[in-house]
Amino acid sequence: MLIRIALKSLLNRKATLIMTFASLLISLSLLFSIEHIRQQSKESFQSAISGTDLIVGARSGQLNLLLHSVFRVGNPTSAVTWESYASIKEHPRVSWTIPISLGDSHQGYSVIGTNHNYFEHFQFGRQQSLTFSQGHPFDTQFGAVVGAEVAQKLGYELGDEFTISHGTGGISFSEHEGQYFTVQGILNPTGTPVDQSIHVAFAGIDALHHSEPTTTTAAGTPDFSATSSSDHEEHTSHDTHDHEDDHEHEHENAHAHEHDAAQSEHSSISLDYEPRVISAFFVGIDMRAATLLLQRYVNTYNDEPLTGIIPGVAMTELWKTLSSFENILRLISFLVLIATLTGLTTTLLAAMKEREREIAILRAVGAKPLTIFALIQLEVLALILSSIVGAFLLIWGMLIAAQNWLMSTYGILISTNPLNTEVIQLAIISVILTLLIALVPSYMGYRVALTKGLTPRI
Amino acid sequence: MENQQSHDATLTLEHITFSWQNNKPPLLNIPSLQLERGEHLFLYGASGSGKTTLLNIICGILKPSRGEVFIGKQSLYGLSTGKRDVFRSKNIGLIFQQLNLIPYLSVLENVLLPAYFAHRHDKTIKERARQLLESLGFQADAMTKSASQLSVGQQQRVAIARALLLKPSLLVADEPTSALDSDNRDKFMELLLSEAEQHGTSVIFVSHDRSLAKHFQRTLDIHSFKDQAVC
Repeated sequence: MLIRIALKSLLNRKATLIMTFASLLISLSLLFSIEHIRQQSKESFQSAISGTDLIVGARSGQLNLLLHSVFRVGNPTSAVTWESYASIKEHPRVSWTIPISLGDSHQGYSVIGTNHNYFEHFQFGRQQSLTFSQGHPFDTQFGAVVGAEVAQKLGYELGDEFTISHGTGGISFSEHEGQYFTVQGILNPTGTPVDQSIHVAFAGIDALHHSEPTTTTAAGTPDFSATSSSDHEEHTSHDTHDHEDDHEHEHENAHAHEHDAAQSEHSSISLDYEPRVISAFFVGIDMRAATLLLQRYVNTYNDEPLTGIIPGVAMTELWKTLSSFENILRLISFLVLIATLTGLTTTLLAAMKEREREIAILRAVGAKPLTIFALIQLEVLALILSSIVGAFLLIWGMLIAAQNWLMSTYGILISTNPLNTEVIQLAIISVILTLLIALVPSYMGYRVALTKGLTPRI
Repeated sequence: MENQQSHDATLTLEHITFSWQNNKPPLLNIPSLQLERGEHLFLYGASGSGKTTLLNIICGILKPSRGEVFIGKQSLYGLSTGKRDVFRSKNIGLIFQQLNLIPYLSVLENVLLPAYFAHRHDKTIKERARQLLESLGFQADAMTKSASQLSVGQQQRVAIARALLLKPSLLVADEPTSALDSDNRDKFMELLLSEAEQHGTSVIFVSHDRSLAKHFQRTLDIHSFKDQAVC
């Protein structure tokens, strides 16, 4: 009955109620959706890599290494020699490795040189492996496997050919003209940077760097001085000198045969091809407990300065650097909530004046001052709870409507279910805050009940 | 306290004085006032004469500076505030000047409010509410109407039904007819007193309208309490 009275009393004040409900709905939706998106981005962030115990690159900061190896942001400052890679790979605790070579792009999508280990061992999300929606791993020198977003945005299908440019900017500095790559496989969407990547064989990457018409002679000996100077010009803007310089030195002997392969039809080549240098490699370890041991081994590796990072640890550090931004978002949404609750208090206080008579009647028929107090709290509770439910439904509906668009436009996969622990916590906090604020009018009602007696004044 | 006599007394006031401030002369001074079971009293008082104060004292809302109020044998101010609230809702029915009803509840719900706060949810009480409303001239379909759809006269009649629902020993009516025209006023008085008599309820009726005194056997001028007059 008390609930019934509370509800009917609320409905009796429809106009105010609707406005209060609307403002609560908006601010709660804002608060919850910011929290939800924060959660989701953190999750999608952390799902970018999984199952990898160690990422090894040339000596650099751990964020730097994480950003370019996993998120394809920025460029490696220097390279890792194949010898070091091969030696670490032989460490008894290492069960698998994925070498990768970065630094090229195609229409703004990064190109990764790698081998079949990538498709075999790379995991994202909750230890999910990569799967093909069409085709298979590359099996020729110029075969490519493209991520879901690349395929969709550029409209690539199996068998399509495209050229790869050097550098990672959207606008290429030098198209590696004449080096056509063929789409051999298309990956399923992962919601990670893999969707925006093009994977090719090491042999393909190396070939394209040495097949620029002006830099090679028919004899297969590169015009070394010309190449290095032009390379320098190109690379100062994206910090890949070492990598490229290494390439130049490396291929003086191997080049002829490689070049031939590149220029001839896209022949099947040995996928065991070993580049001289790589940018980084992912390591899987047979025993989790050995991770720190192996990390120390990498960090103190004698022949070359290397850095080994544990993805989870680096990810947490990266997220921390972003946390001031998310804190500002949270702060703003909290302020909006506070503003709304203040508005709610004003509305409630204004209503108390009109409700003196109602309170007097209830008192006269036997309601205790505490009952009046409870009645007002109950009304506010009904209001905030329905606003919360409304906010959840609103967010849910909007996410359902926007999910496909977000996925296709931004490659963000957002769960449509906004009910995660932290959002629920926020909901509970807002209920408590509201009830605390409602103490003011409730106490007023309580006082009115005590001091004004039973006679309603007109 | 010493003369808690007369077992049939519905209301007993003893040595009541009341003043808003301690050093001022008392607003009310009632050495003794008794209302027998079933006895009705017309209290005449102009506005500002302290009748609301007196009603609040009788209803257990306003503790007198001195003295005791008994409803039956129960000392009203001997109870804690909470218990007094419960006691009042069971033993005293109240009718106000106007706007007695909660507008967004139905007629029947308004009548049943005291039962709810007295924690009586049985069928008999619902039945009683219907009977009361029927005898006051409400058809079944009128009972589910929202209170705000009623005329003032109808609202005051619903207030009678509500005040009598829990068969209180005392009914306090504070100028309940002031918003009614003369036809409605007489009808209201008849209904009020006949219903009260049927249930053995005593009525204290407060008004500034002397013409209503004709309905009562006993009449008192509230001014008499200012001059320490005894009744």
